[in-house]
Amino acid sequence: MLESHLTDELRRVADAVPVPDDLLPAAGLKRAVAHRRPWTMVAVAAAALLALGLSPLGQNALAAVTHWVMTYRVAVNPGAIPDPVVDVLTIQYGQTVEEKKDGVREVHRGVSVADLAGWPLPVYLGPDPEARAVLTETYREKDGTLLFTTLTLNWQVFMDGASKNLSYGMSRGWIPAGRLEEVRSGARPGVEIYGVEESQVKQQTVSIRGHEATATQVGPTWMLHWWHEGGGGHLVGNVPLEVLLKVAESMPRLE
Amino acid sequence: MDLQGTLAAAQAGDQDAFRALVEPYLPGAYRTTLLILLDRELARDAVQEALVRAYASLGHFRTDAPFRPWFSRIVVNEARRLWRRERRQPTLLEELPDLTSPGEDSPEALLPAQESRESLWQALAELDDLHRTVLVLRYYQGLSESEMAEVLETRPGTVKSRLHNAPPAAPGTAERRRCPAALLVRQGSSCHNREVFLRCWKVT
Repeated sequence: MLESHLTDELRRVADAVPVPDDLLPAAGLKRAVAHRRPWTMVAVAAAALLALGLSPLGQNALAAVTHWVMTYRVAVNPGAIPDPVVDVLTIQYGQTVEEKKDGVREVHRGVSVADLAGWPLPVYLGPDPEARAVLTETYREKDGTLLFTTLTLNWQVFMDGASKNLSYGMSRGWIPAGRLEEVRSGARPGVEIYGVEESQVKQQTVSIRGHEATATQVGPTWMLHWWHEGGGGHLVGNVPLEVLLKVAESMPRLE
Repeated sequence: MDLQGTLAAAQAGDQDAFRALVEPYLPGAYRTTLLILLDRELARDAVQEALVRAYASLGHFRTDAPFRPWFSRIVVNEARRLWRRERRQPTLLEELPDLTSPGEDSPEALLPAQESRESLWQALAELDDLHRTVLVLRYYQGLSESEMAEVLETRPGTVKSRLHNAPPAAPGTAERRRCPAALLVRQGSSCHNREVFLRCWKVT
């Protein structure tokens, strides 16, 4: 019977709070959705390049950007990304700890924006002076031993409409236990996949414009990871490896 | 226009149809996120963001599926995502309405006193987002375990576990704070009078 008092208490408090009348913007949905799509910003950047009269360069940039964005759209489609990433994508500030089974702790923490130096994304953030990006790392540990680490890049777009603080995940990477410090110092990490049998994971070394990278396949998903002195990146998508490689090769910056 | 027609129009990009589709659910969505986030502004942000997400992904919605669980899933996911990102000190606790009023202070009412209510809300605020979300879905929305599992996209067993088991205590945390509100309630439900019940909820 006393459980009903919890229900009463929750309803009493929640129902006493008036519902804001601006939850649904009158005419802002399409615009908000458009702003959510990073290719909108990218298209603006490419168009700006063209408008500047840098025709050959602009066309190359447009082709590169379009190509990259096509894969990016695949990468951010929740349906195309295995479950764990969906939670990881948008955790940004501070540190949170989740207690998992068997004494495993999952820690999410924001990483300084300064650590983003070298990531390719800021190139695309140019058109929006208010946009900013953050890097999040998530790791699981048990008894002080690191089990795996995920790096995630997010960025926010601040809008003047009703929707704001939008965030997007870009990519992720798995880094072997114990290699976190090496990653921070710029060392090239290996790749480790969490949550699947080893036999399901295929890896190979590939080259992106002369830079060594690791290509990892889990089912239909390919991941490209590269890390060089001063920076690195990840691309993820349910597309053939060749597509990811073309996208990576067309990126203006690799490191 | 019937529901299917409204849905089809919304999927075709008709914002008015989308508004008609979601409007009946907005009060519940806002208050659910309010209880998960314990902050009015964050709750508003979460619902707004959920609406944008719902609008953007409406094309993927299967028209033969019920709309409400699908929308609830987006709303709850957005609230939890925002909670993890913001981690603000809950402001709702500072504005709990004073419930002292004639008729509510009778012993039969079994309503906890203000101090006890604050303990309850404090306990809720100290839960991780998943435990609190489960409690809100169960005790505010009145969902069954299978319905909660659908919204949370997890197995009913996981929901049951979250509903009835306390999260591990952080070092140095008082035993009381280990208990999710459901445990506090269950603890209280074994009490036969108001005094014992209140003692169950209060700091010991």
